[in-house]
Amino acid sequence: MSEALDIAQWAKHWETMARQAQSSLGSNAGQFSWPGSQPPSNPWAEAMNKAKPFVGGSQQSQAVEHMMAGAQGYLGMLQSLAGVASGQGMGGMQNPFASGFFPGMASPSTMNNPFASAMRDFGGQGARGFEQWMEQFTAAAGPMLDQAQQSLHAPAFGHMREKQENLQKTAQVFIDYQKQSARYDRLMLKVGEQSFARFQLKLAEREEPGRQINSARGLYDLWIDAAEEAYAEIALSEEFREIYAAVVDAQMRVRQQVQAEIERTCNQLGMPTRSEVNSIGERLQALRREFREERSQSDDQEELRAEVAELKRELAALKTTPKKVSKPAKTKPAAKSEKKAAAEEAAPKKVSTKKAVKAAKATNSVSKVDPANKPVADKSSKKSAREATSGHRGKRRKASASKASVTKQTGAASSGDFASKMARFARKSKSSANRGSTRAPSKTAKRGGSK
Amino acid sequence: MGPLNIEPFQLFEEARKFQKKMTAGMQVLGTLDEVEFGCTEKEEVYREDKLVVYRYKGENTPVSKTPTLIVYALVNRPYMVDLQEDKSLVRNLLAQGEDVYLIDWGYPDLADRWLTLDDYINGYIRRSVDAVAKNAGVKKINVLGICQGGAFSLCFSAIYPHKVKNLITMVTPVDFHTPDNMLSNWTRKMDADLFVDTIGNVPADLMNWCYLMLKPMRLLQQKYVGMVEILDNKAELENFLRMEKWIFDSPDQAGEAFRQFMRDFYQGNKLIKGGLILGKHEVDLKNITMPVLNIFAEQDHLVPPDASRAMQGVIGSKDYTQIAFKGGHIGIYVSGRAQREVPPAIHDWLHARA
Repeated sequence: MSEALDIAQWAKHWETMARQAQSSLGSNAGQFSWPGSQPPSNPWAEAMNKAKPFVGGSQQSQAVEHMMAGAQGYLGMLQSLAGVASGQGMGGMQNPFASGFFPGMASPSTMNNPFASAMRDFGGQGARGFEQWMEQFTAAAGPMLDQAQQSLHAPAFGHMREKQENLQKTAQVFIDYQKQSARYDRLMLKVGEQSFARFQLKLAEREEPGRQINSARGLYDLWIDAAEEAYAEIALSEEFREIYAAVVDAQMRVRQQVQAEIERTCNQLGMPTRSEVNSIGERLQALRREFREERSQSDDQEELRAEVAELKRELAALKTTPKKVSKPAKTKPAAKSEKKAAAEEAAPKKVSTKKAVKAAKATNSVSKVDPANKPVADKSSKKSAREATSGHRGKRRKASASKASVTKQTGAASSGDFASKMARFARKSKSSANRGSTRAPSKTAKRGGSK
Repeated sequence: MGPLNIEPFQLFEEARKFQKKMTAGMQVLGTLDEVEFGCTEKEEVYREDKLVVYRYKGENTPVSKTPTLIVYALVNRPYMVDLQEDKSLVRNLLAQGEDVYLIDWGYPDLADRWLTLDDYINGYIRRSVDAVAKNAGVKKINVLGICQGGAFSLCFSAIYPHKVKNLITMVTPVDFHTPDNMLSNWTRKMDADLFVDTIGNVPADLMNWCYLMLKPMRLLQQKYVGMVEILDNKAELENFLRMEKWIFDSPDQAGEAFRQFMRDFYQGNKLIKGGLILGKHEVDLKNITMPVLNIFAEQDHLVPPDASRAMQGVIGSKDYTQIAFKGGHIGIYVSGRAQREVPPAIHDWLHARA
């Protein structure tokens, strides 16, 4: 059996199979919009295209569209390889890239370069309709572009002056965008060329026995590697940075100009515009921000109040704790202090930090917590209260039994802890006052002074 | 000897198999329902505008007393961290005993066009952190920032160090001007003001297209040729489609926040150079004095490893640990290796600093 005959048989099987697939899955010949690649002009890929079924959810449909597009490119390559194989035998397959069966590889032009048209789709993907504008503009102005360009610099006058200037500006931004797009396309052609050169190098590396490519998929993957490497090199260059920015900026100018034209028309018709919506949105956001800030300050004050109350309780407890634990009379000032704390809760701004710190320094004794004075704050404050009181109390009892000096040390540690709390409170009060100062500078300055 | 060693028979056989797979696969595709995502039970603990903070519920009560809040990027949906049962950072952290919360930013629309980074960081994140701390009954919490959310977490931790016990960043850019940062190269000379003034909120499709264009041949073509290989495997296909859904399920970007992120981070590189102002606060990374764990991916094409490594030395913390993960920007959450390595590493690190 000759090689040519076998290939013909395989090809026949293939066509039969493709027909079966087509008939079993329906003949929904949807057209793909694959960026950068022309619709395949080979029956293998076309058969696959026709075989595209209608499948369930939107994710599946999208994935299938992508897959079909990828498969088309891949099958196109396979068919080209098969053509080389059947026409020229293995000799032709030694140099497959000369035949050019990869998208964007052969006869690179701005029309079939995948990278270039991907950039064109950039607009279409982000905000649909942009390409249609460009097409309309090109159709209208294209044939007389040179003539149009000259007239763009002509001075405008008369009662249509404004309108004429706007039209001139619109035409100019369209022309600029076309120029920048062309620059981008040229750069992407370079990617195509360099991909090809890189692919040749990669193939040359595979000539050694044992490193040869032994599957169509292997060859395809090698091409992708080469194309990606070439693309990355250019996409990371200074040249790309400059051209990319120029083309995006140019596109934005076109959009802005068209938006302005639409706004003018809408204004004349008494319709709401994007600018007006933006203006309302900006004000609304400013109000939201202010409202949140107010609420946040109010939350901070609540927190501050709770902390003041806690500190007052501790302070009161410290004061009431008898040096000799047995004195019950000491509990009275605690109640008094509690009342005072409650009063100060209502007006926390009046709390003098200096006084508090002074009080903390002065207080060198260990507290005994009245259960009634336990804060109603969250778990952590309860825990910290426990740590700050009973732990030290326990230590103190043990220590006082043996050495007075140790008692003093423990007391110092306790007051140090308290002092640090007071200092933290002072910082907090200060920051709260400072924040308030943005709205009422004179009053808060006073408050700050009182601290 | 040439580079190719492909027999014609072999070539046709390959084509036949490919065709067969596609034919069979189409039938499987027709039987699939919309894929679902998110496998871990969660409860809402805080809500503001479109933002929701969730607390995840594990099978056991958390052992860790300090909750961990995940701050995800704005540019994708956060369910990537809890994609499916066998691909879930959240689930694995819960299994380790962590108490996990997450900020879901929602989908910004025109009403959010004027949200600034100040609103996001000093507003939303701060209030979310406070809500989590209150819910857990603690003063400080752990923050786990991912990608852009990691950059936000760095800003937050620098402004409010007293609210953060431990900071973990994953695939987080710090130096936006490393030479291998393609996104940065593309945006460096763009007119950010013209861009945002013109299009307002940045459409999700546009963002997706930019990401695809980072590796156009691989992401737009090769990936789908590879998909044919798994077409006849329902489970694999569902996994593939779940990832597809996540990749293209992107929110629009609030215009003002995008403008500032582009101008101050990508163009000005102010996070590392200094001079980044968020509302009334200047971000100084030296204020980050809490322990920091920085995890990055060695094959990350979106956030190059060097962009993350730059954190070392610029923050104020003396307790800095970095882990280089062998994988990519997405693989760090969904790969099998990630499930085995990342959550235990985070848990061990936190446990040592509990």
